[in-house]
Amino acid sequence: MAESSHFARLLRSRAAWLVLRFAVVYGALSWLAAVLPVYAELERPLVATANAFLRESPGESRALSFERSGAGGTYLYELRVAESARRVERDMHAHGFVALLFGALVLATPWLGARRFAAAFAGGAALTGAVCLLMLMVDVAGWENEARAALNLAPGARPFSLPVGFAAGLHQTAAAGLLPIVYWALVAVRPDARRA
Amino acid sequence: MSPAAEVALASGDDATVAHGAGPVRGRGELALRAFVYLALVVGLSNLLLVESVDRTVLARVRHGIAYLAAAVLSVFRGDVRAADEHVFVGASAVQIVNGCTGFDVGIFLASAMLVFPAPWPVRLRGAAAGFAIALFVNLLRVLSLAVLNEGAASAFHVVHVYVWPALISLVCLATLLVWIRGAQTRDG
Repeated sequence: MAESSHFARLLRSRAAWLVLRFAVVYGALSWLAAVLPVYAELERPLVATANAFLRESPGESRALSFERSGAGGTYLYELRVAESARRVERDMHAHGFVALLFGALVLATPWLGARRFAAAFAGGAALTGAVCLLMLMVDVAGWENEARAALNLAPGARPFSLPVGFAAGLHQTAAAGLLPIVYWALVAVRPDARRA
Repeated sequence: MSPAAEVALASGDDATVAHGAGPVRGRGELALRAFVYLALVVGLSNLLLVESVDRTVLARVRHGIAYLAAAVLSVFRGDVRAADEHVFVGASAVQIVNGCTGFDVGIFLASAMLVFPAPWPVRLRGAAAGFAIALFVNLLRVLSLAVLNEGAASAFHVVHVYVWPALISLVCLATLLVWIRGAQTRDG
């Protein structure tokens, strides 16, 4: 009896409605991403940013670009060492799904007020962008190793001045997409205890 | 009750989430908790990449998931078996890789509960329950994908790439919100 009344309260709660709205909005955004090249368009600025962070040194140059094809695309990573060069081509990963998750959560959340919304959104957007960029940069670090091996060069050279190895675990699966969800749940949509 | 009563942004009035969790420290405490959360998820996620952890722990988990999934599916159909980290349904097979263990999702969810300002017993129970929920939902994911891979390869891609990430996100969001509500109710 107690359990059923708890379940009834849960169903009536606004948290349940938030989850339901999130499901509907994310479903709609996912459908859009399936029929339009949303992920490929989200990947462009990530690739441009990662390319800007690539390290140049005397005798070594690196370049990362992205070619659209259909709804997806291909990453092109080129390592030049002296006269030698190696190009690695890889199919697109949909890193942008993290942005879709965050966007759906923001759209599903009742209006917070302009100031609060701006603060929460800025933090979440920065986190989302950083997670997506780090996932791509970890990919690039792997392609750097492949290119060096193909050129018979010693492994271990870092393609970026920034350390990205710490993000390898986050990149292993799509679970990193939960980061902006946890952020939003803890910062923006936590139930107010004063009502309890 | 207005939506604004439900949706409160953490700010100087962090007392709303900090009952029984020590003095209110406002934004500084929120920043510290966020830092600890990031440190937890980065550290634990990278722990999963350590070769010895993979060999001694994750390999067994992958085997366990494959055999458990095969055991469940064999109740409904006869052409199911597990071998190492593979689940065979008919002539097709899915391989359980590290992204299919649910550990990563469990880490992200349980870590959020561990850093939330609530009494420690509540946090520990929440983290354990969150991890268990992540593992259970992941098992459902493996079961559905194993079946779809055999009978509907085109649906497999859609469900794998679009549907399950959304469902897992939904479950995690719902679990977290329900747990936060319960933790605050206990605090009074």
